[in-house]
Amino acid sequence: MSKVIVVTSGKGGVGKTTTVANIGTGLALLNKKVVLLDADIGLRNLDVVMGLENRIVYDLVDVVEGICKLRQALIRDKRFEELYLLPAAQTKEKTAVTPEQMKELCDKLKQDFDYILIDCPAGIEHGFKNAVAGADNAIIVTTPEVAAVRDADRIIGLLEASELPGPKLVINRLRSDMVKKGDMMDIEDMIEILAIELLGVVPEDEKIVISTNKGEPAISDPASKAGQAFRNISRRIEGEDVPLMNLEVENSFMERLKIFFGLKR
Amino acid sequence: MLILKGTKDGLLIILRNIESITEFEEKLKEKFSKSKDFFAGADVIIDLGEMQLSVEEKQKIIEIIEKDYFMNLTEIRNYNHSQKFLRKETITPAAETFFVKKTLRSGQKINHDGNVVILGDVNPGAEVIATGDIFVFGVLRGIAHAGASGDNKAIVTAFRLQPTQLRIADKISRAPDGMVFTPSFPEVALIKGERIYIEPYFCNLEKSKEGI
Repeated sequence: MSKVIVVTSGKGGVGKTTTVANIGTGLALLNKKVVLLDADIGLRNLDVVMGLENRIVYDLVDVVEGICKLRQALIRDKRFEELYLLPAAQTKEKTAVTPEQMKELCDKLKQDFDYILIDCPAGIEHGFKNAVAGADNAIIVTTPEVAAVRDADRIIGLLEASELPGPKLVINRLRSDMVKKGDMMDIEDMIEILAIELLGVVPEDEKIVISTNKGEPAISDPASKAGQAFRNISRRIEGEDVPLMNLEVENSFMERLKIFFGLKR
Repeated sequence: MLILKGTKDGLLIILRNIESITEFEEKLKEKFSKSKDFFAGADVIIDLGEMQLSVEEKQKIIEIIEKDYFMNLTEIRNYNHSQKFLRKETITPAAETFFVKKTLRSGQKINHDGNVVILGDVNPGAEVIATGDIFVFGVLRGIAHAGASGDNKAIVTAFRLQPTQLRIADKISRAPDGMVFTPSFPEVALIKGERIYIEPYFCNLEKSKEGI
């Protein structure tokens, strides 16, 4: 049974593309056939994050318009045999594709792949409707910010209306040190408002910036905490029961010394 | 396109390739321009085809059918899976209560002539406007406007009353800025004198209403 999962958030800059790149790679690591579909026509990023920009010849709009075959537009990943990217067009607009065409495309991809991950553009307009049209599952990405949670809530409402039930939540860029001090929303606050199932929590991690710029998803870096979180999320998507990882920041030697002498709790 | 059919359950209106409520309204006007009075009082079933509507859009349709054409909407269905939307036969706007059996999320809006009961939360960015009272069986975090047509005896109650903004009749109040004490018991908002007051909700609601 192949699954079409749309990754969406409403607000921009919360990490949709990073999430798609990492979960996609994570599922490929679990020996699944995966295709990443960039639905952000006109503002494509996924190819850059995957480090595949220089391989693009044909794109999504070319496929839909029948200029090339689907097979010709699919780009194989550098690292994984069974991971493919279908890039968005950069020179067209969102309206170049209709929701019906997207649905048709997803149905075609379903025949060859286990997972189709759709990178949804920010916003709730045409691009969002396109991205959602062919999906049968949704992952909502949010960061622990009031504005991001508000937009996620709006998106969940819209998904309900378009009959895409049971979206799952990924909380991105959580800083446990700030949560501890009460400066950041904690996981419970967000779950209480959004009231959907939690798929995973990804801690803030500098390595993400580095890996994104290099075009190598952080998930393949064993030292990256965010990478670990994305590995767990991929396993959960595959149906495994993986507990939430410990997000506590390890104390430095001096801090441990202070705790030892009772100067700090 | 609008297709009309007479069935034993009433008039069936079938919508095909209609993109928005406004378009529906226009098409309806075209069809009914001459025979408006003929269909008054008729029961109506609307078949939306594959079109999906939100709660507020459904309400809008009910309003159009009932207020503009004086017909009774008995059911809204989608043609591939029937989605029943049952309505009371008698229409007495002031007393009618609208039930929402889900959480209202940001961007969703209920506008109802009568009371509104919400079995779920009202999240920030969502709005509930009623000419009567508003009851939230959950957390009210969004905007609520009770007594919207000027009834200053209207009330708003919620299991947890934490609204962004609260309006009763023509009075507006908002949450104080900064950190606020949030009680963990049900509360009621009502007008006393010139202002909106928030009190713990007890069962003798009638008494606190009389005290206005």
